[in-house]
Amino acid sequence: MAIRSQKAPEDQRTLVDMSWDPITRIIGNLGIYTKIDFSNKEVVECKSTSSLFRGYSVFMRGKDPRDSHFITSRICGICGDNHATCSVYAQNMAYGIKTPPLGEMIVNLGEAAEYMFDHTIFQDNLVFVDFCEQMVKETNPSLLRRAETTEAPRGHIHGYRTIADIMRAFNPFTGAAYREALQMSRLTREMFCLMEGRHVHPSTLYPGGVGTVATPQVFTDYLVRLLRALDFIKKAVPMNDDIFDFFYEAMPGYEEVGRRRVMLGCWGAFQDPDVVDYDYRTMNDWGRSMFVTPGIVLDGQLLTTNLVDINLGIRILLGSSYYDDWEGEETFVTHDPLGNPVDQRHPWNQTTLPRPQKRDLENGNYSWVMSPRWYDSRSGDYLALDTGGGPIARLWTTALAGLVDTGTVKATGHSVQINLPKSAAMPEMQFEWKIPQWSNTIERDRARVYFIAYAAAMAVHFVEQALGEVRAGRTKVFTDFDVPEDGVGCGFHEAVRGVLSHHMVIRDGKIANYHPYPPTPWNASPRDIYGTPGPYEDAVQGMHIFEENGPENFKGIDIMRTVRSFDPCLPCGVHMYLGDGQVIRKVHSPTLGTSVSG
Amino acid sequence: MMKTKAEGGTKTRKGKAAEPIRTGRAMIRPDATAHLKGVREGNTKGHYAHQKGHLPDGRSTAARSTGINPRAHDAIDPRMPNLSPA
Repeated sequence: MAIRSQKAPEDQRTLVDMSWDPITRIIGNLGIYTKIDFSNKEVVECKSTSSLFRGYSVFMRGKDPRDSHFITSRICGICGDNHATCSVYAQNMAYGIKTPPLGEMIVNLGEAAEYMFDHTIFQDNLVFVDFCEQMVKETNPSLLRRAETTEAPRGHIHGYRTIADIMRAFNPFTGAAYREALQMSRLTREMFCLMEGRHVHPSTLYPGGVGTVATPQVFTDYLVRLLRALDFIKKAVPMNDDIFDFFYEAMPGYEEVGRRRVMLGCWGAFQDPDVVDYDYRTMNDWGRSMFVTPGIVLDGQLLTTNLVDINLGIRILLGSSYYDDWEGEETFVTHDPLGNPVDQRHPWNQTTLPRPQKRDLENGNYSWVMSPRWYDSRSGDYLALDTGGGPIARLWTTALAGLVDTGTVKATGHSVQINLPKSAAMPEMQFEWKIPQWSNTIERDRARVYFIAYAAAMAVHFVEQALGEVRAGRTKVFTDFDVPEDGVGCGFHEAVRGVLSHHMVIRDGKIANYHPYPPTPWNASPRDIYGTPGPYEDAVQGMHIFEENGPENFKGIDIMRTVRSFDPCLPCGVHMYLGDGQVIRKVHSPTLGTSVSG
Repeated sequence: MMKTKAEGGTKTRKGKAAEPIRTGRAMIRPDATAHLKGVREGNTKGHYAHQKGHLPDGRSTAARSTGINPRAHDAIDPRMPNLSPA
């Protein structure tokens, strides 16, 4: 907090425009535009913008509802299965069916493998490029010198003697941790394919069940791979703790980087087959039985774990987005199945009216992303919830709710205990994720590796249960259904990087309205109609800069670490614009043997 | 200009002119939805009961995996779980 109080008076400031556009996704749709005060080492203003229009909500209309999970899976090339799963949940509700227990476990096992795969590849192959030796050498040489002489406290577990050794292991293409993570992502992807047929657009996932043939073989094939992954995870967690603790210790004040008010949302994951019936009227009960508890955390307090409250509080606001307002358009759902009124700004009633226009970062619209908010009826605030990249919100809500207890995972009310069984090279181990003091860049990244362990521990639980079902001869994995003429459905799930909801309205047997809300619209949202900045903007704005480079060769590493801590998918290329008219273009092409840039 | 296949322009391996493929009248536009009302699809209610080897109580027999002498692959003792091959 001391750093924030060192602000210079506004008239004494010299602000430099610094922009990174595109930052994320292989098609490149996220830009970060900042104004930086280099003399005081502070980011004064930040705006996040997206130049990509997707339009799923537009072209889903009129299609057969049974196609929706296949189509919406294509929203993302890395977490498409999360969309398919969420769409299946929404369809199950609309059709009034439930997946048989073994089918539900197969979905859970597939999703657990997906979390392990995606978080590993993102953390070790993308996030840690920002923390690797080559990068730190270029941005904070004094930090690297200190790392060379700092012993890694948990070196006896992961095998790296100093912090600098860990940083070297993160070097892209050559570092040991980097290469091992690539092998691990292959292994976890195989686990996924055993359950859901194909990565990343599942071929065996349907409303009412799965097409996977449940045999002892398929689950033991999964288990063999899981046990190999456990060896990796047991070393990864202590290694992550060492590097992140070092950053706090070596750079006092680093906890302020990317810090924002604790405003986290989690929509829950891993259905409990014994409880879930996909009926909206009992959604609070089966929502709370999920093995990742849904909830909203505000300033460290758990506001709710009710999926119905979460659902009804969602508002899609405009303000800085390239759309026309739909206030006067059709209201599809006036009341939910429990009789509660549904707002016109709720996804069930949204009509997408795109209005392409010139980007105006100063006083106008600047993004294709809308501004999803959660309406807090107690205070009347529209909360700009973030997901913190997914894991921090999932662990935080699960820990506070204290409902999950499977033996392999236990939520205590203030922490989450994760028990991993003995594996080939490592003994039985227990990790405990404790609720951190801050919601900041480091804690978002730290939670990610803990959630990999969480997903693995849950997978151990699910695979044991699934094998129990198979051995008992209960092999039913699908149920048949008819598509109703009219119906509504909503699915709540966790995409790898955070909250995911699908809202569907069926009319005359066809989709009348369909709105998927993945995590990035929440995280990357621009300023809404009330002027509230989105989470990226909020986290970067007012941030102290720890990078040692000046404006000439500024890399913006602290800003990049912050934006990437929200897991905005795959970074591919960065070109950089300096406000004095000089354009520097840096295209990051990952090639073996080159030094890291951008 | 080269003749299209439909116009008999292509030739078989032996050099004879290929017969154009005879097709019926197109009944749907190519971009129409794959699902048509009245067509029974895999999800239709009642299909589970018609699937061979899938029992009403959620268990299954080897008939779900093979149609060739499935009984030989069933459990020896009916009290044992029936783990059919994939």
